Amino acid sequence: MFILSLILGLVAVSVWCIPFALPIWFFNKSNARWVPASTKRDSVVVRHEVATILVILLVWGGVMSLSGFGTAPLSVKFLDEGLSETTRSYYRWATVAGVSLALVGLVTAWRYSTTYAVAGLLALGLGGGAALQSALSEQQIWEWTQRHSRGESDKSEKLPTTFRFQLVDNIEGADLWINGVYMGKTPYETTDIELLAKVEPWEHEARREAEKMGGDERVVYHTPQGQELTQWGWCPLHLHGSHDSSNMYYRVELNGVSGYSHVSSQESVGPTNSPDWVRLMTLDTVFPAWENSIEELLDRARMNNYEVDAEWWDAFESHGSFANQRLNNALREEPQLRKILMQRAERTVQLDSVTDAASAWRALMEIEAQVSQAHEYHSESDLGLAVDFLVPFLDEEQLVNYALAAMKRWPRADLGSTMWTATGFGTYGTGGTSHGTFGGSVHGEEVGAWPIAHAVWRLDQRLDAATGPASIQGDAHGPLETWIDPNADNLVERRITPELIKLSRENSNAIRYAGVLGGSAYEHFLIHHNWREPATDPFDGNVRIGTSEVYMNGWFQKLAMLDSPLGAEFRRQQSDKLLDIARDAVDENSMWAWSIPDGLDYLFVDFGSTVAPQVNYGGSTPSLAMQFWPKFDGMMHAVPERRQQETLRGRWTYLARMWPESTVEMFAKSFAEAAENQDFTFAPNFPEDFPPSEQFRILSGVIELEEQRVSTLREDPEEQRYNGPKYRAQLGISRLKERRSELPCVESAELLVTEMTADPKHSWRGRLHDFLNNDRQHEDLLRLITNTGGAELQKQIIPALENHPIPSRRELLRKLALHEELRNLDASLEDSVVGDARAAEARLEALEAKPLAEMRRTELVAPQSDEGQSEDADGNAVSGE
Amino acid sequence: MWTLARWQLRQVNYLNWVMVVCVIGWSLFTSEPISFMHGATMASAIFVHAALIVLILGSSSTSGAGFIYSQGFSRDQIWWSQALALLMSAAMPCVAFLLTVGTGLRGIIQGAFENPWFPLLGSSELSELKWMLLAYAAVFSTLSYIWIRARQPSKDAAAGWMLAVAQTAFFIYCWTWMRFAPPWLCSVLVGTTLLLIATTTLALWKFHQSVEVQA
Repeated sequence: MFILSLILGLVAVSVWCIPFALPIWFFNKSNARWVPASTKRDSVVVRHEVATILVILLVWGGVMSLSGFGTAPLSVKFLDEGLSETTRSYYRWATVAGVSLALVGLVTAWRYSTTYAVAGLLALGLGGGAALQSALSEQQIWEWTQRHSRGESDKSEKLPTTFRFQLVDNIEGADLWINGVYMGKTPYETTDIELLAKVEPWEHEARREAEKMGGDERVVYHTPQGQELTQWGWCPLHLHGSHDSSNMYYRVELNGVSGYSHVSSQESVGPTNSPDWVRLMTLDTVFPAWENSIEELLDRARMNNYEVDAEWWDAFESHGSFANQRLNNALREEPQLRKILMQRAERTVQLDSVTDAASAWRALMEIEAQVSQAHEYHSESDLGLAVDFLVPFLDEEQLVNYALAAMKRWPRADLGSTMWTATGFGTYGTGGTSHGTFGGSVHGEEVGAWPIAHAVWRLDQRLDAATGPASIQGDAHGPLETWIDPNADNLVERRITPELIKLSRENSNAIRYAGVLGGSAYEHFLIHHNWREPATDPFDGNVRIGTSEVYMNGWFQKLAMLDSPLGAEFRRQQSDKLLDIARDAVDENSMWAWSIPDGLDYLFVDFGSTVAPQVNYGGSTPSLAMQFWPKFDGMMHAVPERRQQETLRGRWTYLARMWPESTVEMFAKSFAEAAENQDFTFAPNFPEDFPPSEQFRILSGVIELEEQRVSTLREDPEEQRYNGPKYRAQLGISRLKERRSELPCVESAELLVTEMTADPKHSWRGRLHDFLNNDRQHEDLLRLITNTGGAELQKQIIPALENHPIPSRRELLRKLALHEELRNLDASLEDSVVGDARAAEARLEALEAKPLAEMRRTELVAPQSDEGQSEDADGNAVSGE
Repeated sequence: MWTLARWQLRQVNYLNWVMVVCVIGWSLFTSEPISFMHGATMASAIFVHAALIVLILGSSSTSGAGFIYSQGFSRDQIWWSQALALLMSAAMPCVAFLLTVGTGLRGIIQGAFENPWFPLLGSSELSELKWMLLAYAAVFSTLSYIWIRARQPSKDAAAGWMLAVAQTAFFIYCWTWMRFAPPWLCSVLVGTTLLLIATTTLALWKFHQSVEVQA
């Protein structure tokens, strides 16, 4: 077999060599007929040929060395620390061999024969390259196998994994304990083998015992807002990549002050397979004194209606990542804090000097330069917010001209992916240099194009908003072209979109960006493509909607997703096909039958569309979503009973997305079906952007219909007192009412205050305090309680007013503090309300007067370790009593 | 000189007209955007056309070459007439391309076929002309050197052949890379290609005077 392979190999090589060797033989034989054997090569000929070989070798080798392209033999991969030492040595030796071969080739060409030199270089170079490729593949497979079989082999052969434990901001000198054993000060480095030798794994009970010894106050830290910031005294430590290292718990002290931890994040840093490769464990430990200072700073911002100055920023930034994490968390519940982010952006780019188009342009160029250097950009970053700020000032023509030039400069910039999320631009903007790919390929300098593209995107939105909804009306059920209106194109759509489509010849991502900007050129481009045949994917990516046998045509999908008169008409003309595809997609999605399958967004495009109503369905024809609802609703009945809550959420999400075409009765029917089939039914959450007042309307309607339904049910027998149909239905209604009361809208607030005022035993009286503390959006409820709620309720809202001291809440607090302005005073609580309000107001005034310098991050000071004392929210020692 | 060039052209005119017809047909009726970098059709056609022309005009071994060398023309005259004929041969398909694309004929026909790229592309495909010319120059110079070198009164006659193999491999490498490379690297690769074309053409000019005609 071996001999046969050898023979076949020799035959193959010989056949491959024939086209090269025959001409050599022919030319040399022909030449020998008339050139005497003693003749030497002409020196000019030699110089020319050697120079040609040298140029080719230099450029070829240079390109491969600089690029790090694939497994090219001359790549500088032997300097790449991400590779193992063995792999790097392969590259090192390949480079030495390549350079030597090149030198030998040049000498041969100079002294003897260009023919043999080039033939040798080609044969040995290609052969050597193939051999190197093969050796590297084998090495990489071996390394992969070694990495992934760690721990499965005998323990004595197992390589140690290095762990480095550090705090946020890499704070040094904190004491670290694991499972009760003192390890050392942060940053602390050890291996898994050393760690397991030093520390006994704890079972759950052992941790509980340790926490009891530490005292309950160590376990939970209550933030200034009354939230439980952490729940662990001994925080679980998950050491991924190391066997037998579960059941580990850690705690941290800094200068004798206990820290409170919740999770630990883990990442790998350093070159793989090298001694410098470590698993970095970042412990999210916080310290109450610092957290309190950050909260005070945020309160100061709230007091000033989110206007902050440089001194505030200095103090805030002194808290480093602790402050940023806190701000990011607070943003979720308190979107007004974005105002602060905008001010930070103004500081970063010095936007205060922007007054006209020229200054705005300078600032944009500065951002572009920063981004190009950093290889990183995101629309939600400071720089992204600065771009948002600049767009209204910019000269539109100048921006568009510059964007066109940038497209020529960075024709392969990945603009399409940056638009992948609706709000994000430059979602993943890192990399570039680490790949060593000329700094001009994926995420290199081209990232500088992203802020420009972001600005163009915003400009397009501004221009669209200024012109209002598109209103062209073509021939109903006639040619699609008649629904395209070139006169409605704005500057961006007129000039940028066509160029992006042209650019998509060499950069398919550009078509996605063109789709986001839209315009008549894009629409013409779509309708002239072959969208009629199924599964003809467009060149910018595959579409996987429908069944696996016949997927939706990509151009068809783009047309169905258009938010324009053309899109509306297309959906109208193709409604049968679109509904068939949706049916196929739902059938295909049987594993997750309770949710709307991916890719069916076209069902809902007409809701919230920017197209004028007369162009759209106009109420005369049911929307696609409404036409598809019976099918989707029917699918929900096939879902197992234990999934009823999920089906209810799926149905309500569907109905909410087609609101207001959907009806309250449809919501109620879904709820009733779910309530009949399961013990506990929760009112599902609505989509985040669904208006609370509309939610109130729907929930009220559902409650009313449910109450009517329940009134028709017969009483549960005694043995089913707590799980009979009527009991379950009533429970469902109470949950609907709970959800309705939680809505941050005036209707909900009025109803809740009326009910609580009328019912002294109303369940909400007990939870009002906690609810308002954890929710930042109930201004109406606070206002109504302050004005008409009664002293008992008023007393409960004082902490919420104090803990979130925006001007409107301080106004309410002041009102409570002024005895004579209260109308519904309860005599027994009157003094208490006024007293609490005044005390709160005094604390806020003190905070307002407190110098910002005192809120900076300072060294922690250990509390007195007297027995019976614990820490308060500030991290200060207080008496246990 | 012009008469001599016309005589040279007569040997390859049928090839040129075939190429012109192919270029006209292809440029009018291909529905995909014309791109030298993203399709092998144009590059392959140019390579075959240019190689055949070099074989006929530059090999110095056809009966035509023997005849012309025997008519008393100076070697410079013969060389320049060959260069002119090569230039004309390259120009004919390029002019055909220029006329079909530059006049908008391609746009009109493709528009009639409802090609989505038209009228969007307009005459922007004309920028491909520079690649066509570069490809002709690269193939002409590289392949001509094979024959000029083989007919030198010097050893190592197959050096031109091997050098052509190496140069062609390098040009294909550049062509492949330029689809992905950033603009500055494209400039380096194009610059190197131009340098090789220039040095090879100079070598051709230098060596043609000592070529041994063996018709």
